[in-house]
Amino acid sequence: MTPPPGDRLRAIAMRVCDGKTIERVIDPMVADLRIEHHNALTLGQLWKSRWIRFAGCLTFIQVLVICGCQRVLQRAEGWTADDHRALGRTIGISTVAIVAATLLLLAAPMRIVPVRAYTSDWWRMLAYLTPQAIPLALPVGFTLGILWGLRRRAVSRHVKTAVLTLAIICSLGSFGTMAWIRPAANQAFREFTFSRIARDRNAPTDTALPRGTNELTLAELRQRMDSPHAHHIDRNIAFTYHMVWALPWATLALALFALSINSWHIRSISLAVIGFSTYLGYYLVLVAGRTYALDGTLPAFVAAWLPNIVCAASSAALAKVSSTQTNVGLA
Amino acid sequence: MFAASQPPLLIISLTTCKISDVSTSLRVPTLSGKESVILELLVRDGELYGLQLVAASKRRLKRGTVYVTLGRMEDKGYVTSRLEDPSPESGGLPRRVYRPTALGRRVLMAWTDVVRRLMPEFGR
Repeated sequence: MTPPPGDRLRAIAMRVCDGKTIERVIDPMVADLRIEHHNALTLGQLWKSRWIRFAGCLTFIQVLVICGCQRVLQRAEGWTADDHRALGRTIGISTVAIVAATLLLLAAPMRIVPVRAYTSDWWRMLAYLTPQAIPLALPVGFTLGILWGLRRRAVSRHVKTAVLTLAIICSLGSFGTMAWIRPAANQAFREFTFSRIARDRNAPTDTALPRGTNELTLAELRQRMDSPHAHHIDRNIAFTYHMVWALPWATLALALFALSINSWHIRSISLAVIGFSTYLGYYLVLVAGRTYALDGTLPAFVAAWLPNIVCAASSAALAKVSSTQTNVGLA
Repeated sequence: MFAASQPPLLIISLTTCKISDVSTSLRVPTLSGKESVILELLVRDGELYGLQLVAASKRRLKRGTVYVTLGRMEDKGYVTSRLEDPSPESGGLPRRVYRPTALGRRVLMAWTDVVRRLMPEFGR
């Protein structure tokens, strides 16, 4: 015997909705759905009864989305005007800084490639190079956004949660870019540049370019890691593989660092210096880790995650110092 | 002691407290488009189920939003609902039938009047 329509939907709702929503929204919807379905079957309208079941599912999804949005809005009601301003300023400054950093990072490779190769296809070059720039631009832009947007203020729990959620979203986006989009874009960029240069020199342009380490996707890197080859290449590939996992989380690690020092009463220029120094420090640790990973001193996994670990540890220490100072000040 | 020209701190805080209470209790009731359609139909037909409202609204209400809107209107006190006896057709779940409250009728009347007065001449 088939269960009455809406039975499973109601069971799902019981798991995700509160009692009031079940009583006021879900139960009336399911009861009406069952009556409508029953009436259609009584009249022998089989297809209509199927349509009612399908429409009931769509309605159920819509109701869940609306209830979810209402819950989020109710939570957002606890926000003060100051919280809204602080978060808006942080997002605004971060966006500007990320765009500026991306353009700055794009400028360098655009200058290296011969002008003839890209003047007619600049949009194509932009599409190929942007995925390389974004994972590097996101951490620095977001860090500067937090440092300037929330400078010299006690940040509420709401804002901290929102900023860290944004950092996680940026990190996930950055991971997707590094793992799949960047390798494809890198390879396309190399093939495009090679074909232009070969054409100018009247050389054959149909030669297939082998993929380098930076042009391999996550799955391909894993595959190469597992195949038994020369030691040095293995280490390089192993480090690149772990770096693809670790580097995107620089945004979150640096955001934690920025949140731990944002309440310091220092000048804006000092904040900028601290922001850039932290960013440079992160990459210096990454480069040092890579060197140690390639000569076998450090395991590739540890070397790739080392900057994030250092950053998170220093953030925790600084946050503890800041909270101690605040408590002393309040006392 | 406080100076004669300055009100005591306690009185200031009590006044502020009263003002804030008044401002929240005197919040003007508003009606969204969907809410006004629901109230119009309920005032016209008396008692209706959610699906009957959707059918009677001539596509102005959707299945996905009517129950949420009715729940919200019940919280605001514009409509009230009662549960019918569970029937075998509804699989043992009682149907909920809605009717307007006195507040809902008054709000609808006032809202209709406001909309009529504020509507530009060419729109009437």
